[in-house]
Amino acid sequence: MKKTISILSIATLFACGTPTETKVEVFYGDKITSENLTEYSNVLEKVEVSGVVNTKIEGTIIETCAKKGCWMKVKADDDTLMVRFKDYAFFVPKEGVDGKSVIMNGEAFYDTLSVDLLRHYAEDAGDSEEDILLITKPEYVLSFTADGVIIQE
Amino acid sequence: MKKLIIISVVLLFAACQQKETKVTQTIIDPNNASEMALLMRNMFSQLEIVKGKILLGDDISKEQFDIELIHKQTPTDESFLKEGLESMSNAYAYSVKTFNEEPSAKHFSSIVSNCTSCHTMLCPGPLERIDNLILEK
Repeated sequence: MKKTISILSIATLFACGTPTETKVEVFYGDKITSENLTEYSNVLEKVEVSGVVNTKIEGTIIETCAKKGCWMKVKADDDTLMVRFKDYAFFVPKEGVDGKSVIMNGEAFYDTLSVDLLRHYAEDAGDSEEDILLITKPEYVLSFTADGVIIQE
Repeated sequence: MKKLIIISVVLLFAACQQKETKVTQTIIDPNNASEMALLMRNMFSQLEIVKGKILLGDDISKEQFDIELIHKQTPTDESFLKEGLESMSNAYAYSVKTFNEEPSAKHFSSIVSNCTSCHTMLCPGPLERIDNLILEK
């Protein structure tokens, strides 16, 4: 009997000794899955060919709109994507998510951001008036319109 | 006895082994929306309903918009109180009043044009959403 208790105790220690790991996934906009992600390099190739690609990719949040959370800048490989949300229908946190892993479903495409728009984004980001006035040229950037976003906590 | 021990050990492992549990939640706006933002979302909802009726050919002669003056609302922060906001807000209120006096697709489009003009000048983010209110694309 003593032997039985000892074996059961050891088994319990092995089985239950480590705590359960909880992964929190917060969805913004449409609920999407974190499966079937496309490699960013493949997306880039397709955008070059067809102009716009419907895809799901992963990246790291660099910055979000500090005023309303209505856009975010995401690092994917060595590129920075300007991410907006389809139909302005949802928002992400204004703070506290920089550096977090993000999965986005939507359209990737190249876009020309006008000086006015770039200044508006700079204002949203809280840049100084001096810095905002330094923006004098439009930018040709890789953009992403997301219909659903997962931020991994 | 031996059998009992084996079954117990197997059951223990099955019950207690380390599991990855996923907690999920869906969010539309995690930030505290301002009075002005909430007013605009409410305006959008009202306009969207009437647009649907216009497209279906329903009678809109009794439709009325109940909308407060935009520039009197508390914005997200003071940077939203730009020059031109008040005059744009008054122009918008006038177009709403015109619609309420004589509801029609033409007057509906006039309201939407005011939304577009103001946001083009002052805050371009929601333009994509406002585009969904345009009757003829």
